[in-house]
Amino acid sequence: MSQGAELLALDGLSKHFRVGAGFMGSKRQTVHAVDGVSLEVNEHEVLGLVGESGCGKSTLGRLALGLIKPTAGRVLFEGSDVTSLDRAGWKELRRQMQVVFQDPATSLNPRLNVGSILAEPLVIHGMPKAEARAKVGPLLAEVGLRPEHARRYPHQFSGGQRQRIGIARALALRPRLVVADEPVSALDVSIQAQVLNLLMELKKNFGLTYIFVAHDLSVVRHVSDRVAVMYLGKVVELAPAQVFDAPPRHPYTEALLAAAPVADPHRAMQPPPVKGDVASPVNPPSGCRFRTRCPEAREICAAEEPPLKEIGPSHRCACHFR
Amino acid sequence: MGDPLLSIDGLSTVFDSEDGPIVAVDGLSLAVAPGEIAGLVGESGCGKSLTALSVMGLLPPHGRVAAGRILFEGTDLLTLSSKRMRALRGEDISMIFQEPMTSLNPVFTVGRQIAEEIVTYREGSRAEAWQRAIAMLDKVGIPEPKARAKAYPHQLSGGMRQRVMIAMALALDPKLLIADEPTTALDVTIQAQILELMRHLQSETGAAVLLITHNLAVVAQTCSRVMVMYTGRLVEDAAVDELFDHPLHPYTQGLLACLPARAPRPGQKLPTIGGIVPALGHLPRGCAFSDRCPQAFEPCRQAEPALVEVEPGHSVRCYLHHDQARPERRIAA
Repeated sequence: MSQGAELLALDGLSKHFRVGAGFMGSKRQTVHAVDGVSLEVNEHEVLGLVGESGCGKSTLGRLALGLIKPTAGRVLFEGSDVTSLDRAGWKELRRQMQVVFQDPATSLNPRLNVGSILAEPLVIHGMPKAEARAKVGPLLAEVGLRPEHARRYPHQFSGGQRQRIGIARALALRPRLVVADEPVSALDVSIQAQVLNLLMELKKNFGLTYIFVAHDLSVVRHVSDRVAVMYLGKVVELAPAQVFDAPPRHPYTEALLAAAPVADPHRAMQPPPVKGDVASPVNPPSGCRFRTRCPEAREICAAEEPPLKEIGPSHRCACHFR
Repeated sequence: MGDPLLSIDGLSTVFDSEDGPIVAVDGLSLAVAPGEIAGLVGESGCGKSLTALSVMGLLPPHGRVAAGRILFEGTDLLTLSSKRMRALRGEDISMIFQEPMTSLNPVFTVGRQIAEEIVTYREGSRAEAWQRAIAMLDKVGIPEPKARAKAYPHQLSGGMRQRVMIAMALALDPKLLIADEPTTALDVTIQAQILELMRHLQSETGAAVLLITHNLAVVAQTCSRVMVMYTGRLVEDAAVDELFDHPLHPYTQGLLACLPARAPRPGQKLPTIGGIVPALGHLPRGCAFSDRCPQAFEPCRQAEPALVEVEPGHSVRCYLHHDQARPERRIAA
């Protein structure tokens, strides 16, 4: 797929959360949710962010949107540093960057009808109310709903339809970048396919760029041009989506692939590729963070953190043995 | 197949609402053989979990079984007193749920919760029950079981908690384990561990498993037989290879086709099932799937097709396949 110039760059981004704020004598601890991540997103591409719970993929999406402030690092939009923008600056930038959340039931205001929900971002950004209202019908049509749906409330829709409303709201301001945070995880399989098709169609029609956050490899593989695999706050592999088709791959990517069940009864299920649980983000392991579960781990993995280095065309991998 | 372990016959489960009863499970018949892993799949609201809760006698308030029989080793569970049902739930049938955190008691250690169950149903002392609890934790692959037995649920990870639930469910050697979305809340690497554990324990204990899930890939790799539900009805029932290779019901075909992993090429438009699942009170006339079915024809909109065995071991509720069936093969009217 043809890709344009760099639209968004994340430069050494970290986000640490302080937890256990001294309650009943408990110690304050630091969760290393995202730790030194550098990524770039090119115009018109879909960058998939994949990983298991707690790997920092959603936090990274929120950092990119400026919804939370990084502990360290910079966010660059079209080359200019936007990390330290004030409220007004971010508000202006949000015209260009929007978000679709996982659960449309909790991200749509139940007291507003769909017309008000969709007109709201336009009004906030200075459009007269009547004009904004007039845009609602066409917006609904773009996501496969009908103009008369504007009078209804979120609870009167099915999960798939609510996600369409969430997508329409994100598109209202005609953004260039959309962060889609697990947009189909809460949906049934048959509805998931409809919403994925819609997202891809809208990308084509409006020349959108997506950061597509998901835990489901088959979904990420289907929609993404490039994929960043995350583990415990770090990007361990960054490559074109075809990386899933052939080695060499990061041992964690291998594990994710081997663990995912395949909808084919003729393929015997593989033994679990990794033992144990993800280590704690409060005290992440020294060196390579995956080493505590990695079948290939050796001494060097505990001593030295592997850098994310080029191992092939546009293929970066953080492993001492790749 | 010999005598089934569990045989559900014409089960209807309804919810009483202000607008009259809503039929959530409608005339469902299915069987689970001893020692098999059978999958019950369908999308949200299809009635798969309510079927399990009907078997367990654990329906939520306002829900009730309106018709049918649930035979376990020949005894109709619906005729049992609540006391006998409770004993049966402990010893013969057990169930694990999607979210172990809400099924475990947060104020007792996990070892105590397992031991409690053993003491309730088995002869022997508390000390013996505690030892058995530790042995069960060891069996489900919990490291340092002696120490972990003294842990509270919140001190364990999601995967570990699900292992505890499995240890508890299997502590009394049940003949049937009903697992309702046991891995849905877990990460994929942990899911692989739990599925492997379930299969391993199943082959070791010989317990039958009814695995309820929305995930077709989990079914493909775990079950020997699959039953597909739609709007409270069974629409297809076949051996797992047969169902994935030759799905007959248009709904099953649609479900399989829209999996991204089965798309011929990444990025390509995925096949979809048109429309949305109808509300239970507003099913279309005739076949419940007729308003979304790309192959629907005249008879589909007039009367509901029966579930018919069209090939040995392969049943389908669809008129497209009924001419292949001889009348005597009909297993439901």
